[in-house]
Amino acid sequence: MLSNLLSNYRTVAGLAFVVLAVVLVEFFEVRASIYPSLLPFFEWLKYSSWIGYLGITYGSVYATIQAGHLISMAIIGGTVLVTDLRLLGVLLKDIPSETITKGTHQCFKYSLMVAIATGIFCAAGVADKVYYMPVFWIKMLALLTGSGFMFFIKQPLLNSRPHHEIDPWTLRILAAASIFIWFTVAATGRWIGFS
Amino acid sequence: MIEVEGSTESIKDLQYAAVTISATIIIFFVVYWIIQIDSVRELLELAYG
Repeated sequence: MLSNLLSNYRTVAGLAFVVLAVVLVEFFEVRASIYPSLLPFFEWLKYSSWIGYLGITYGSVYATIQAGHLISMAIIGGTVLVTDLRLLGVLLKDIPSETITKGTHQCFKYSLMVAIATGIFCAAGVADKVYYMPVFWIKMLALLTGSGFMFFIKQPLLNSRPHHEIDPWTLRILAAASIFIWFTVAATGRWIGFS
Repeated sequence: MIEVEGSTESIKDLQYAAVTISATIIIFFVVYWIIQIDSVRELLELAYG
């Protein structure tokens, strides 16, 4: 009975496992015990790694790569908004949502790769500062949640069948959650910049 | 065109997972932003009365 349920509802079981793992990590204070041991890595990233050296020494290189980071984040925001507002029935109603979700996902994937690569460089230049910022960790959490949500939940569901066969409220709640996550990634990113 | 993949159970599984995680995400981030906005409001009140 249980194995039958688990095999039929693998994604739900996987999600329950992830939530349970997060609760256990917080309950046993694993995150709090790991946090201090990350400081040497952040210090090494800023003062000893070549990307940290480049970022600290050459302001023009840092500014150029940060521009790449902002452009890639803007493209991510654009693809997310176009896809989700189409799923909510706000934009581009004359184009099938399947066409839009497939087209924008390719762009999203490449922009995410660029955003992560340039983001590591940007963080390296100010690593000893961002380590102490709670908002930096909230951004990392939102980025991780957003990527996991996109690749393991949203895309598999949207690619599984024509969208008119999926419950419309499921599509709406999916789109709203996606907008919320990426809004948080963008807002916390700017917050880091102003801290 | 999208080809229909998987059984009814696998689609139900994906839909349940999508609704559950979406609702959790929305609740978490709404609470997070309410707390942030409230803390800014309190700071402004302390600064300007």
